Amino acid sequence: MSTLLLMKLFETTPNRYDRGIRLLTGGQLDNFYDRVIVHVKEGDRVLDIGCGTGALTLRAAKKRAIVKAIDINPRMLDVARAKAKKADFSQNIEFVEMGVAELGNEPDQTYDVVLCGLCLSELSKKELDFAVNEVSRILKPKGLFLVIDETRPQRFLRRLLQGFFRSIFKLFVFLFSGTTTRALKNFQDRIEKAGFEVVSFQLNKSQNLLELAARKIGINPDE
Amino acid sequence: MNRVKYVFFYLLETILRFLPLPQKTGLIKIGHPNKNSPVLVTGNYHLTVLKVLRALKGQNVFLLVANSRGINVWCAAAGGHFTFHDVISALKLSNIESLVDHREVILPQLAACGIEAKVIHQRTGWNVKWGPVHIKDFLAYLEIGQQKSIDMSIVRFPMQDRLEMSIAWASWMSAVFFFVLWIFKREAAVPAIFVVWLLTLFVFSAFPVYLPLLRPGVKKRLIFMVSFLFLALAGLGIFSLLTSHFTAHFLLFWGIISFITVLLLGGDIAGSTPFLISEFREEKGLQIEVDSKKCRGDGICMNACPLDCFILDKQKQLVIFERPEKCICCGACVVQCQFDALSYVDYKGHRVPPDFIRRHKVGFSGKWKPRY
Ligand SMILES: C[S@@+](CC[C@H](N)C(=O)[O-])C[C@H]1O[C@@H](n2cnc3c(N)ncnc32)[C@H](O)[C@@H]1O
Ligand code: SF4
Ligand code: SF4
Repeated sequence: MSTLLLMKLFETTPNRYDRGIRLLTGGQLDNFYDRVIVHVKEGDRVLDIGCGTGALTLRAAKKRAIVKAIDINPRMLDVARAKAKKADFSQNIEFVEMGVAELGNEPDQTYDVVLCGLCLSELSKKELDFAVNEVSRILKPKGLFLVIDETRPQRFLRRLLQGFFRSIFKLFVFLFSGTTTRALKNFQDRIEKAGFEVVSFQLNKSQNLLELAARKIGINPDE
Repeated sequence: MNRVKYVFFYLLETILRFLPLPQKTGLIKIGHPNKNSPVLVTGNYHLTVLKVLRALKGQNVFLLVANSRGINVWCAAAGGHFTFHDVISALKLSNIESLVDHREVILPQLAACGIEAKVIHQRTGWNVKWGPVHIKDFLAYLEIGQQKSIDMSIVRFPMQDRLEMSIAWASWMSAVFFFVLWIFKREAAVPAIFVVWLLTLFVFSAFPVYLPLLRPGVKKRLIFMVSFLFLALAGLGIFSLLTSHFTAHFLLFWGIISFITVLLLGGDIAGSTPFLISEFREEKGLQIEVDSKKCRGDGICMNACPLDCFILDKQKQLVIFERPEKCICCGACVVQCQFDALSYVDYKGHRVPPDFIRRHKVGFSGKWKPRY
């Protein structure tokens, strides 16, 4: 699924994003999302970072959680809002056009769950570090961080293979949209350092899509 | 060494001008800036950053490179690839807030079509000032106390820029000609490169001569192409007479090559300039309308407009859209007006509200990639 990179192209035309992603992932992503959302409970306060067209937002709202969904792309948010309205969950969702950089304004220990689907790989290194630390701060004790994103395969050969395909797609996507994504590297280590404990971790068959649930245990190394 | 590097990248990226070329984002300290030094933001188009660094040599400035997706500031902002989110991210994720005592950030004026100064202020407390259009004016801007003269607010298309445009166009056109001819008519491949470069350089350097003809309402493309084709054919005729190549076949072949070149260049000559509106823009023909009830005469729109379209009626505390013929529908004034006093009106009288433009951008859609 190195083809996931191609989603960057669909982001330029939000109306076609959902169809595009389904085509790219053959519904695999939906399965991942369905599985990860199991961790969300009724009444939970949830933050969806980079909600896009609302794939995770709507799933969480359907479970009667109270969701704040943020994204920097107003046109993606438009699509998400329209979907929420249709599905009749809109009263439980607050959509806000804001980016990871503004997470600093969220109060400490506010959320039971933070969701992040295919967004971390779009961040710069600095933003990624910042996001992980902020999520740790704004989660309640024992709160959950649920991440689905592209990752680098662990086995060498696979990595080589994916690296090869990815670089071809990368060039293509880059020429058309001027953007690219960075598959997550050693993400488990990274969030463990930020005070999380990994509760569940799964990879897809080709080892380049990860699904991870981590609990905040709060042994922040800085403290 | 630095100079060699600059020249190398300058040439390479001028050739590759139509491609996005990103550079690392983040804070760059120029000279020895202190707590009161100016903070300047630019996009992360590699060549832009090089040019800015060069222009600011010897100054003490904080330069924040924000994520404009490797595209130059103007196109990125107009196309929605460079927004207030990127500036906020640059401000918040660098440690600039602990490095300076003030909260004033200077943004390139051409970013005004896509970056809402008001939102940045609301969300971060930083005040946005629109710097000069051309980075070359930056020192003068600092010298007169971070003030802009009208000159500094207007886009120009000086010889150097026109040469850069020629290089960008001629490079890819001659490459295409070369490859095609290499397959079908090998002996013409190299001469074709000459023809393409010559014509392109000619078209762009002669720009001031035919600029008066490109007024709105005139069939720009037609005038442009007919006259250049005519000139190219005349040139060919003289050349063939001199070299006694005077055959119908020769004239026809090179006539076609010149025609294609002129067609590619002239199909949208207006779009290749910073101050004429591209023929392919949907927003063509939109007119700015000032709502005199809402306007407070603060002049923010005048400060953002790269074509000096407005004048201020000081008595009435009202801005007037004085020079509509110059407007290129960049959207900067509409996006920046804090009181929503400006909007576009199309030829049918439909009003395009400011918030729609803030959301969707009224852009150059990447057709002309101006520099900053
Ligand atoms: C690939 S989409 C994923 C959307 C959705 N979560 C899903 O899985 O269908 C990634 C989204 O992240 C958003 N994004 C990118 N950078 C961001 C940032 N710094 N802060 C917030 N959102 C961001 C993009 O606008 C885009 O809508
Ligand atoms: S139109 Fe808006 S920006 Fe321009 S002077 Fe009036 S209030 Fe200010
Ligand atoms: S008047 Fe026209 S050219 Fe000037 S800022 Fe407004 S849209 Fe741009």
